[in-house]
Amino acid sequence: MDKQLNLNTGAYALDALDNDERADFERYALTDPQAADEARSLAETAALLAFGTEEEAPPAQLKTDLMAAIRTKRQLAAPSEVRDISSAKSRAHHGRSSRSAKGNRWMPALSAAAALVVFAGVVGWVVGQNTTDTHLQKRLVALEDKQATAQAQQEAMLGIVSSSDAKIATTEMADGASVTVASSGKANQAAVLVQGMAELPADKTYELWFISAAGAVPAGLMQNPGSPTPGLQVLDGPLDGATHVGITVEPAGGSPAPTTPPLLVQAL
Amino acid sequence: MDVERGNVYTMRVPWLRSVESLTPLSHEDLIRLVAQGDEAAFEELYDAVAARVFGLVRRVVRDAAQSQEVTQEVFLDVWEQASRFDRDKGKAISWILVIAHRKAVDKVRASQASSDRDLRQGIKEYKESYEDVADTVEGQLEAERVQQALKSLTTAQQEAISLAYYGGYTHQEVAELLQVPVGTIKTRIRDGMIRMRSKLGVA
Repeated sequence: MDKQLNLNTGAYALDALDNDERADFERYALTDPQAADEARSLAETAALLAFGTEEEAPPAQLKTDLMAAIRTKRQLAAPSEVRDISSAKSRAHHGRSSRSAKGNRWMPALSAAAALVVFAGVVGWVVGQNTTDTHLQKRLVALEDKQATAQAQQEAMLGIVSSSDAKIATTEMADGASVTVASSGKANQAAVLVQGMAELPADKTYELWFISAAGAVPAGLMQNPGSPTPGLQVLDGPLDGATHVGITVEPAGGSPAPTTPPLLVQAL
Repeated sequence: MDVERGNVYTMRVPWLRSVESLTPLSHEDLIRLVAQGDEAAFEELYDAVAARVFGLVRRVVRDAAQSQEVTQEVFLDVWEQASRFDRDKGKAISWILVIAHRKAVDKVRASQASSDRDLRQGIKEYKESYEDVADTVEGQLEAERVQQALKSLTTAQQEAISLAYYGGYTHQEVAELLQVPVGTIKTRIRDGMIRMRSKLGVA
């Protein structure tokens, strides 16, 4: 059925789509740069509608509470980017000025849709926010389950990092989550060490990908992404010359090819 | 006073204040500082935009306590996500208001699920709120422009856009309220927003 998703730009900009429709539209916008750009500019137009409401100073207490709250609130790092240990060091000196798109290739569609990412990104992150209450409990349960397979995983990880050509890179993601990717061409394997990713609804899963110029190959579903302690996972399948590892959100059970914009693309 | 303030910032971010020592910091500059954990910049940004944000949230959410809750969440997001703001993609105030509107709408829809908001009440609220717009925006430049832009739309477009944005209704709900097919609402909203965009000169 033709849903005429390209006509949803206005409703998207006004937050007038329900959650499913919004997800549909964001997926669609990746394939239609014109719609993505239209949605971006209409979202900026929609923001101006706020000026049609009367300004109202919030109670002074709100500011007091807020200023206290930010002291203990961790900030997100700059958007996912390629960095190895040595560039991480230089970053510390140069603050955030070293942001670069270097190596951030996903698929042609991604750069076309980059305009949308500001808004979609904001929106996507906002959605993940309110799930923290049940988060901790589930993470603890997940952690116990994980113990059993941990040892085998650790051995494989050791195989990777002890190779002479091992590469390790860490990226910080939404809400303090961090993803470390370790890979070795010689061991022909890669592994991720994931900490504190947002809990997904039951019908969604994080999927890992090996990416090369030929496209994205499934590398397994992420196990226990919400774990408060680093969760180690060796990626399914051989590295076979992949240049990047990616993470997307997919329907439960995973997809044969990515259907959503990547949360992370890490160069190997 | 400006000079003294300039010195403070010079110590903190020399590369910034040396060029801009006598101009007030823009929202965009403030967000850049916030991204580096600058609490003073965050406070300055809050003081500059809180009334704007709270006004919008109050309109959509209505309930005072819930509006405060949402407003606090909005600013916590700004603090956490400041590094994600990209000034090439739009203005800082737009970025903040996009977050605020989205959170307000989420709140309304979450409460709606438990109390099953009466759609007819929605029409009544919308009519009241639309009258508010005419009453309260006099004298504010942006508000004036927005009102002019809204006026340039057909009544049907205005109605659909206002219900969606200020009322927090989905296009499906707007269609039910106005008893027209959702496809029609979709088009009204899109055509209306495109017209507003050109009236307001958004790139």
